[in-house]
Amino acid sequence: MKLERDDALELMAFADGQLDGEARERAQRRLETDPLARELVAQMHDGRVKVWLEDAVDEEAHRGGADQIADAVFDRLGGAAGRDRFFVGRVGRGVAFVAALALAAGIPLVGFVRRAFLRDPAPVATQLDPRVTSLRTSSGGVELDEIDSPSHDVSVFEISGAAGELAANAPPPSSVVIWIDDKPGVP
Amino acid sequence: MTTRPRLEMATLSLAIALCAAELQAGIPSRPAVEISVIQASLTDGGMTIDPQLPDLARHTREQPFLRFNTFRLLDRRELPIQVGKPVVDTLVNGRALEVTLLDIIDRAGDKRFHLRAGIDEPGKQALLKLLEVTAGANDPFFVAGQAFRGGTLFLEIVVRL
Repeated sequence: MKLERDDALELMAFADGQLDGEARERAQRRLETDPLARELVAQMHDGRVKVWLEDAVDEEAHRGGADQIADAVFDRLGGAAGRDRFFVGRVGRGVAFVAALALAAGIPLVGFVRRAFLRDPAPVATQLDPRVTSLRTSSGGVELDEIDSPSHDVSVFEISGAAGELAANAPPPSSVVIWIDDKPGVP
Repeated sequence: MTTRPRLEMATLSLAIALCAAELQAGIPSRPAVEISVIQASLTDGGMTIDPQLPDLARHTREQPFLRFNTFRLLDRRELPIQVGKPVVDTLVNGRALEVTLLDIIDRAGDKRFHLRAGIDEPGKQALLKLLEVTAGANDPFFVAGQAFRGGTLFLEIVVRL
């Protein structure tokens, strides 16, 4: 999947309410026909994804080396390393989606694997359909809130959660394996 | 009350008092964090799972478990936890796992436990500087990847009530 760089930037600006006139109309037309564009804007409307991206861009501006860092991040997102590594949680997936899209469009991002990628996470229950929340009888699985391992590479695997009784239509719980490469990486 | 029932009551009370300490030691305070240290390895034989790990079988077809075919429980302990007070468990490889209960959240009647964990080694950079998860009781999560005696360690961490 790919968005052209200018399109991706324009959609991000649209999500931030920074467009007007012809650019805004162009973005709106794009949303009507392109599901990828709609998904990007939906994720950008998640405040925590925005905070992460803003922090990442600020960090990159100070550190430089965007190309190498972007390659490492894209690899972590599974672009080259395979489908099994991804971040859990609603916001984690949103971040990964936006980051992958931006990287594919050539927008540089800094390696977030070694940095906290969530701030002030809202409880997952508040993001669920209230009907599902009220029917849940299971514990809801494990949510990964924050991870930081500056000196070692980290991967996160989502696995099935603890078996238990679930209400009808309740999503199955999930859990995580935090895999830490025992060999120190480049800090 | 006659002398005999009084004596029996006294004896019973004394017995309870003497046993109380042992009873208390055998029953961990709740909530508690259970830490299981599992060694995973790849051998020439078939799948072998320690009988003390009955819940592991359903993960063996998931990454990263499917890289291994032998899972052995090396150590398991249960440590009482209180909000704001870290507990430390020295692992089989000499590193220290620190777990702190940050908060207990009530979600529609379900208790959710906000935990922080870190793995340190004296004199070296932390293996895991910071990990924060929110989990229900009996919802395990794993921290894995440490090499140990030809295998790889999986730390299973779960809150028990």
